[in-house]
Amino acid sequence: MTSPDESRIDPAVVATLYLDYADELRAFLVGVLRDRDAAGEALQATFTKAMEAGHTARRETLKGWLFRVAYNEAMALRRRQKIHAKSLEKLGWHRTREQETPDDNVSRGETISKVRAALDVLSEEQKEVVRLRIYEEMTFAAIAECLDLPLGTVLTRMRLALKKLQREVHEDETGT
Amino acid sequence: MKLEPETTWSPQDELEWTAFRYIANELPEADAAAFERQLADDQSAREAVARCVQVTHAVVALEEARSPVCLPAGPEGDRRRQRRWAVAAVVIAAAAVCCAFWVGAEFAQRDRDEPGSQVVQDDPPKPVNPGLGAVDPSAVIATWLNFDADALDSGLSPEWEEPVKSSSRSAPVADGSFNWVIAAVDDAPLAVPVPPVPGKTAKEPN
Repeated sequence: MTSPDESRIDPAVVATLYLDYADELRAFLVGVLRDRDAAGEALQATFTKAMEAGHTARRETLKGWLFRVAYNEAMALRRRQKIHAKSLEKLGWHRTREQETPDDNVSRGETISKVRAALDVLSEEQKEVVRLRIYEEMTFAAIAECLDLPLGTVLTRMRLALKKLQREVHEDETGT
Repeated sequence: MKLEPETTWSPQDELEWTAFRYIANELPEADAAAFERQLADDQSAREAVARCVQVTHAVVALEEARSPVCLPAGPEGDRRRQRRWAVAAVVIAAAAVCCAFWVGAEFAQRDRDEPGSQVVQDDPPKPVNPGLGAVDPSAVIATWLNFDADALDSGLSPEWEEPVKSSSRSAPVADGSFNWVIAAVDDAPLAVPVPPVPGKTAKEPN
């Protein structure tokens, strides 16, 4: 895993780590930072740190190590740029398709096809709540008011829909 | 009202739900801070966040593909407001066009109805070329009636062979009978030879 001088991780290992985990790490960083540019910056810093200090992590824990480094980088970046307050004002982080790389599109295309199949499993009521919450960006309270439903019903529909979506999309990874 | 079925939630389900509410800004501030502290140590929580983001991206992409018009990103309710504004803009534009037509029709009707707006010819129109003011229109008509192309070609018309007597700006044609045409172009006073009118004696121009 390490280079002959034992001071640095083998760059080939870092490249493999990038291929295996970059998409998931980027999604995690986007979820924390709510800003795609900042997430990209934190991802770059994470792999820079992997090059410098990856040899200190055990191979079986490398994924967890990368996520922890990514989390620390995200928190440091948030403190530096104070982007948290900005993100609370506007949550437009998932509409930056033009900034994505071709690799992003390929990996996302697979997820999209899975989600398309998963949406067919949902009831019409669940689909409506999913659309209003995720695409229309309405709060749960606003959805409840719009559909004239109790808030608890809206939350339950969303929760059931999310469970089905996650199961359909990630069943290969979890082996279920 | 349709009730959702009772569901039991596993710890993993709870984690996924918390992660979704975290990325959707639907967690209370204290809960969000607690979840962020959990993210520092809990790898399953980090992966749950990543999964929620990936699913969210995919749903948005699918919805954008289904929608014929993709409106720009905005906070909650922005798209609905933008749709309402678009409809309002179309209605206002249509109303403006109708108003413009109505106002135009009103003015046109007023112009037709007003007495002052009708053309009243108190005086005969003045000739554009002052030099032509001296020409008797009947003489012009008579000239054309007597016009003989063959005679013009052969130069046998005795009246037309008379030289131009009082033209300071001689016409480029030898025949003085066409000086009034050239004068009209030249915009200069001109002595026009009046051809003989049948039944009348030709007069010398002034």
